[in-house]
Parts: sequence; C-alpha cells; structure tokens
Amino acid sequence: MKNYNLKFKTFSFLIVIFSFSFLIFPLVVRGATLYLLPQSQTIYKNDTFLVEVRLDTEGEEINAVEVSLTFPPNLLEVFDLGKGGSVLDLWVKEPSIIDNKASFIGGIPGGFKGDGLIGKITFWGKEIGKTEINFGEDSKVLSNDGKGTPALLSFSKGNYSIIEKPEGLPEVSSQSHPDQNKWSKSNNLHLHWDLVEGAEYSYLLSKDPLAKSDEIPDKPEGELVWMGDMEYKGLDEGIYYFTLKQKLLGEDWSEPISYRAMIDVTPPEEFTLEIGQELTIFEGKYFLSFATIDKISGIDHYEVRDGKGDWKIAESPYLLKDQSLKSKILVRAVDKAGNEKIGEIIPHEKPFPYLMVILIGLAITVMVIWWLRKNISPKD
Amino acid sequence: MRLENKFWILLLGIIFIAIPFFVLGLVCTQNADCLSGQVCRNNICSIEKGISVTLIVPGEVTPPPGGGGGGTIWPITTVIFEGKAYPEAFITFLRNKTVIGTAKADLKGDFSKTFTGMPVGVWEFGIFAEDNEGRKSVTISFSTSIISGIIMKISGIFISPTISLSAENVIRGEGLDILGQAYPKSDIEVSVFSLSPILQKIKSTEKGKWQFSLDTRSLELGIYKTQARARTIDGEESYFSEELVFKIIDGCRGADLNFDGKVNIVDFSILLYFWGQKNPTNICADINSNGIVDIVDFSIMMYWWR
Repeated sequence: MKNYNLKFKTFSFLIVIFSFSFLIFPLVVRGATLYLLPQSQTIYKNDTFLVEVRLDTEGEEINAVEVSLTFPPNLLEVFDLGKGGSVLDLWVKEPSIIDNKASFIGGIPGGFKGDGLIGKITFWGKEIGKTEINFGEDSKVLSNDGKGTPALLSFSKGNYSIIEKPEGLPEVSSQSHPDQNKWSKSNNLHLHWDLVEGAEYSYLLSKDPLAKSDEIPDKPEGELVWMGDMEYKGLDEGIYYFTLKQKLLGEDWSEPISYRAMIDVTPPEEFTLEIGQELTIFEGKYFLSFATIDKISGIDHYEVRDGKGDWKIAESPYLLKDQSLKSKILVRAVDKAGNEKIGEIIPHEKPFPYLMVILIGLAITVMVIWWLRKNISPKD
Repeated sequence: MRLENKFWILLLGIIFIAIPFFVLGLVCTQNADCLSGQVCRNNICSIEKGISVTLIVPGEVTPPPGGGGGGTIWPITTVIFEGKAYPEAFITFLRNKTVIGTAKADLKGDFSKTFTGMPVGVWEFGIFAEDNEGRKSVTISFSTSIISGIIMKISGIFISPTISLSAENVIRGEGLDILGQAYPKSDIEVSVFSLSPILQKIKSTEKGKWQFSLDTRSLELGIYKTQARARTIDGEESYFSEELVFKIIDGCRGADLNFDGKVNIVDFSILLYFWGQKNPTNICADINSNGIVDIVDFSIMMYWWR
C-alpha cells in the first residue's frame, strides 16, 4: 500500500512538472529572430556578394529595430549598405559601418508583424577563407506597445566561404548593366561572354542568389549565329543573378560563374513634408522635415530647392533660408538607380490685411479733414 | 491757432533740435568727422562702450627691403588691443570679418595683443572670446581709423560674459541654471525677460565662473529670454552676452515634442536632433525620462505616430 501511494505521488508530481513545462517552454522559444539570407554561400575571391538582413517577428508586433553585425575585416569588406525594400519606414540614421560593425537603426510607425527585410549589405570577398557574419549582442527589437519593451530576440548567423576562382572560367560582362554593384533604371539586360569553339554552355537567370544553372546545354533560339550575347527584355524590378557554366570539348562542366544585375525603374514613394518650429532646435527658426522610402533600391540622397536657389543636397531637418515662409520649397528624393520623386510645399502665406489698412486709412482721412475744418478760419 | 502758425513752430523746432548735432560735430559721414576715440555710426558720432583709442608715440621708420639710399620712408603702424575677458579665454581678433590673430587671456582674465604692420585705413574690428569650457561670447565690433606711422592703443575692451542654460524646456517648478564665465570677481547682472523682467545680481568666482539658479515656481508658462553683463569693482561694464531663449512648460506631452497635438515627422526631427544626448536640454525628447534619448523613445514615438 505504501509503495502504491509513493508511486502515485511520484507519478502525480511528474505529471505536474510535465504540464508546467508545456506552459513555460513556448515562452522560452517564442520571440523575434534576426537572420541573414542567404545563410551560407561560396564566393570567389575578389567577387562581391549580397546578403539580406532579415527579421522574423514570430508573431510579435514590433516598431523599432537596432541591428549591428560583425564580420572579420581581414576576409570581408563592406562595399555598400542598402535600405531599399526595408520594412523600416523611418531611419534614425543612414545604415553605416563603424569599427567593422554594420549598423541599421529605424522604425515603423504603427508596427510590423511578420517576416521582412531590414537592409542589405554588399560584401567584397577580400581573402580566401571561411568566415562568419554575426549579429551583435547589442542588437534590439522593440515591441509596438507604447513603452518600447524589448522583444525576446534570437540570432542566426551566416557562414560564407571565399575560395580561389578557378582558371579558365568565362568572363561575363554587360553593356546595359556594366557595374554589378550599381542599380540601373534599365529593365533590358544585355550580357556577353566570349564563346570558346566547341564549348557548350548552361545558363540561368534567377532572383535566387543560390540558384545554379543545370548541366544541360542551353543556347538562345533564333537563326542568327550566336556570338555569346544574351538579351533579357522587360524584366521586372529586383536583383538578378545570371549563372553560367562552360563545358569545353572533352572536359567536364566548369564551376559556375555569376553576374549580378540590379534593376529599379520605380521612383521613390510620395513625400511626407512638414514645416516645423521648435524653440530648442535651430534657435526656434522654421525648419522642414521630410522623408520618403524607395521600395527597390532605396533612397540615395535628398536635394532641396529653397525658393529660387539651386538644388542642394540636404538632410532632414533642413533649416529654411526664407524664414518669412513666402518661398515655395521643393524636395527631390533620388534613389540609387537615379529615379526621382519631387515633393513641394508652399508655406502658408498670411493674407494681406486689406480691411485693416482700409479702415486705418479712412480713420486718418476723417481725422485730417476734421482738424483742417476746425483750424481753418472763415477769413482763409 | 492758425494752421500756418503751427507750421512755422514745427519747422523751428526741427531746426533747434538739429543745430546742436551740427555745431557739436555730432553729425558725421565718416569716422574722421568725429572726435578722437569716437566712431561714426548711423551718421552720428558715438563713443564705443568703454573702448578708448590712444595715440602713443610716433612709430619708427625703416627703409624698404632690398632698396638702398632712395630716401623713401615706410612708417610702421602698430596697434595694441587690451581688454578684459575671462581666465585663460581664447581671444580671436577680426578685421573686416577676417581673422587676423589670436591671444590667450591670463589667469586674471586680462588680455593684450599687438599687431605690427597694420595697414592704414578705416577698418571694422571684431573681437570675441571662447572660455575654457568651449562657450563663445558675442563679437564686439567697432570701426576705427588706423593712421600711418604711429602706435595706437585700443583699450577698455570688456568682452561680454559667456552664457548657457542647463535646459531649454523647463517644467514649471523645476530649477533652471543660467551659467557661464566672466571677468573674475565682478558683479554679474542676469536679466530674465518676459512680460515683467527679472534682474538678479551675483558675483563671478576667482576663476571667472558664475551661475544663477532660477526658481520657476512663480513664473508663468511661456517663452523667456535671458542675458548677462559683468561690472567690475571700478565700475567698468561689459557688453551684454548672447541672448538665450528658454520655455517654461507645464509638462511634456509624450511623443508630441512640439506641442502641436500631433505625433508626426516634425516630432521625429526633434527627436533626431537630440538623439543620443544624456539629460537633453529639451527634456521632452527623453520621452521615457530614462536620462537619454535613444531607441526606446523612438519606439514610443512610433507607437503614437499619426
């Protein structure tokens, strides 16, 4: 009997503990995740590659993000930082690199829930080796709860290998998109490589950086003699990866070679423009606040034309030259592909007080006439 | 009274007021029309506050370089500036808005700077000081004629105190510190302007520092200006300092940093302006009052954004 009671108590205790673990465990696991895409990749030395910094809120609603990433400077160098397509609408400061740490800090009015892009980093593979890109422990994601409560956060690092580029690979070039690291407004992509007599080629154009061409020979359709040119017309916006493999006569298929083309044909979004005045900034003078986003390549810079002046590169908040607020102000947002969006603001001009002027004038006239009549004697 | 009689009275009045200006040489078109030590400003001769111009002795003459015999005389014009600032203040001298030299005040706050080879002519000089805590004074500007072949001493330059505020937005009831540096052991007159001005007198320390704590409990909500001036035991008076502005508020309004009833990009701009500041001078930018303007304040603003 005693044994039975002991076993029963032990079993009950275990049941209780087991049940509690179901309550606690989900809380431990739940939370946002910062991760990189692609999470791993093999790159040839001296090539550049693009990594997306992404956030999965795992069902939480967040509104502010501060992300830092570290990387080994002996193997990698940051070529560019982009915020095009980010879920963040407002940026505290431009994505930047300080002491080999990439930094993104911004927010979303009204919050965000889901899986979204924070920003993009283009790295240059400097030296051969295996490398990790890690999130800094000081990275934060804050809840959209009106208190700035930090959300539980986990990180998923990236692993990348930089290897020597095999010899004999074809060199791909593009007249329409000559720089793989620059965005272009053209959505017609022209690529070229020199054909080797007797060789076969397998190629693929994809938006997936990890997609590779298969080893089935490809050749453009048509009756003209193919000289190694490829034309893709009317492409949608985005980042494309053209991968190519070559099979020389009597040899196996080569390692793939990749060429990146970035296309953005859409101008930035409509502007938000406001004139503000606050005692504690610009000594209480009027300033202009502005912001917009670009969904593809990201805003490169803003320019302001204050009254009849020239366009000048500017940042928000911008101290207005005409403090009387009579001049029209134009703001131009330029994205990284050179697309532009112009916003304008015509400050409220106080109406001329015609009525008051007329009344004052009448009053003065009446007073003068009265004075003259009083002081001009009958003899005059 | 007849109209024509009134007209003549008015005309005579104008003549009687204008005559003294002409007779006493108070009307001028250039500094040379004025008496020594005076400057012509707005066509009236006036003495710059406390600054005096003294001609000391004729300067020495030296022959031109490389030339021999000839008999050409090239007089050297030397100008000496003397005045009061604050201990170890960094003094900058301008001529027609261009920097011509610098000096450092001694531990007593006095400074002296000599310029040789000053070109002759009528010049606008400017002098300002930077205290050892990085605050700058207003620039004292005055015009004077530089005459060839003499030594001129421009003395009595009493640079205005430096001034700064512990906050630019103050919640009524909390103290506001108005502080800066001035000539040591001088009387500092601190003025706070609104509808009815407040005048306080304090003393600067041996090291030239001064501080006044304003009690805001009895002050109305609104915008105030403040300024300071120094006066030595001998009665010498400095120029007025820069005029600073602060606001007395009844409290912050969360993420609405400019009190316009909206949380929008203007408030975001204000937040960015104070980003990273610990105990910012705009206390409202630190929305959660944790002593720093950071991403938590940004998140709160994003929540209330409309």
